[in-house]
Amino acid sequence: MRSYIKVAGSSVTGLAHQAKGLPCQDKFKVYRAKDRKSAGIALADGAGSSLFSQIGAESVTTCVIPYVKDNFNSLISNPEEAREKIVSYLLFRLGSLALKNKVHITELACTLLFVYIERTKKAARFIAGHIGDGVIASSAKKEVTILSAPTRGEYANTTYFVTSEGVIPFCKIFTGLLQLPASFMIMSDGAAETLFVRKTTQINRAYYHQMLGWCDRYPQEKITAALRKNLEKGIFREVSGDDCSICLMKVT
Amino acid sequence: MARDLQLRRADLIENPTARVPICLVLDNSPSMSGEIEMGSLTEQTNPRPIDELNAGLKLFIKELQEHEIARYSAEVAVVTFSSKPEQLVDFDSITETKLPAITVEEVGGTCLGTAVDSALKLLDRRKREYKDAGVDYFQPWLVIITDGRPTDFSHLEVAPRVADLVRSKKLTIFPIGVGKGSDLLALEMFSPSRKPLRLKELRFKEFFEWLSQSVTVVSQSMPGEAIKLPLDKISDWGTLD
Repeated sequence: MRSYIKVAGSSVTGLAHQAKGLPCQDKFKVYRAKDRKSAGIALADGAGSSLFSQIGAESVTTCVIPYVKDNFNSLISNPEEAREKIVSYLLFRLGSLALKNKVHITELACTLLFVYIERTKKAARFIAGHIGDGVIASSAKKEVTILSAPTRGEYANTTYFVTSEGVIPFCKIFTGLLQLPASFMIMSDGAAETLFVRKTTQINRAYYHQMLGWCDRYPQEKITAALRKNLEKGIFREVSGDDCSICLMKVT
Repeated sequence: MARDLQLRRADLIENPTARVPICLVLDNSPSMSGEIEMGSLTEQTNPRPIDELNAGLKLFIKELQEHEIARYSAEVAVVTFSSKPEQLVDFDSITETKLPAITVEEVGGTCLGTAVDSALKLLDRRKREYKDAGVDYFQPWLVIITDGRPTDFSHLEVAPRVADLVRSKKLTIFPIGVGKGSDLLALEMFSPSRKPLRLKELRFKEFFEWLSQSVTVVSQSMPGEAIKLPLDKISDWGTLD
């Protein structure tokens, strides 16, 4: 198989938010290094109860992958320490943003999901992190697994945010080495309502393979457009009125 | 947007039954209207071949839908052709499907090769979708029905490819000629192991009835089992030249 790294992502405003005139509170970023040796995807879902959560989501998705890239070796060698370092860095960024805009940091509350990979010849080293709801799924040699399931509070509409008090223990960090071809998918809770089967804590494999299969056949731009169109109508709209976001990454 | 870029509430996900993909490649050139030029007059045959073809197709789908296994197993696509091929129906579950009526093209022609090539592409794509979804499938079927002779040379390139697929047991083919104007020699180029048959009169219904019974046999077969099609019933609708 030809070797490549592809990343794609899309977010759409949920019908419920559209009806209330609210902005899309999901934000995402995808990165691919020019030398095609590393890539990252990040996604955050702003808290519905926070006034400027979409700004918080934009901020954490913008800064988390560059931070992980710059500190990759030290973070991957000590995942426990990585958890503290990453959360502290994100809180520092959000704190500065809150100060600048004269709002309380909790008004920037959002979840976070990210994956960063660096490829070696036949494998990919990765760090993934997750705070709150949404799902991270991964696949190596066609076996799909849930890397991280949603972390919820006691009630269905409660979860943890980057800005939640004492969040560090609820920030899940995963590190590892995946044989190529490897792929990752991160999704907000809106998209997870369609793709994730809560009862079995499994992702719908057929959809996963179909979407990641696009990477073998289409350029990133086309995959991005397809993600958007699928999120805008069809299976996601039938299930959820929430904002929906998905990011994909495949390394071969 | 290309079909494989669409995430559908797909039957592929909810229905684990092994599939029999059947692609029908059907001639809808003006001659299928049954109008025969007689000097300055045009004679209209009764019934019209296109009407019989549509009635046969309707029966085919209905019979498959009524079978408890075949309805979940059979998937039908339709490519029509005259001067150019057209993908009329894409592969999908037939449980709820209602095929659109095939209409006769105004512009004449018999682009047999390009139409079969379109069908091969459809079959290839569907097989890839099965694989991606982890759905098992049987050897795909290709049914070609024409009442004419090729009006271009595309079949000379496509037929050997199809014949190779048939020889390597990657495709099952049923080439059918309609009326005396159909070129069975051209059809034979596609089918190295099964001689093309000429439809008796306009017995489309009998042919499609036989086809649905054959699909049903395949849909019920077990891995490794030799599939016995109801060959004795072919004489109800077809003849060998």
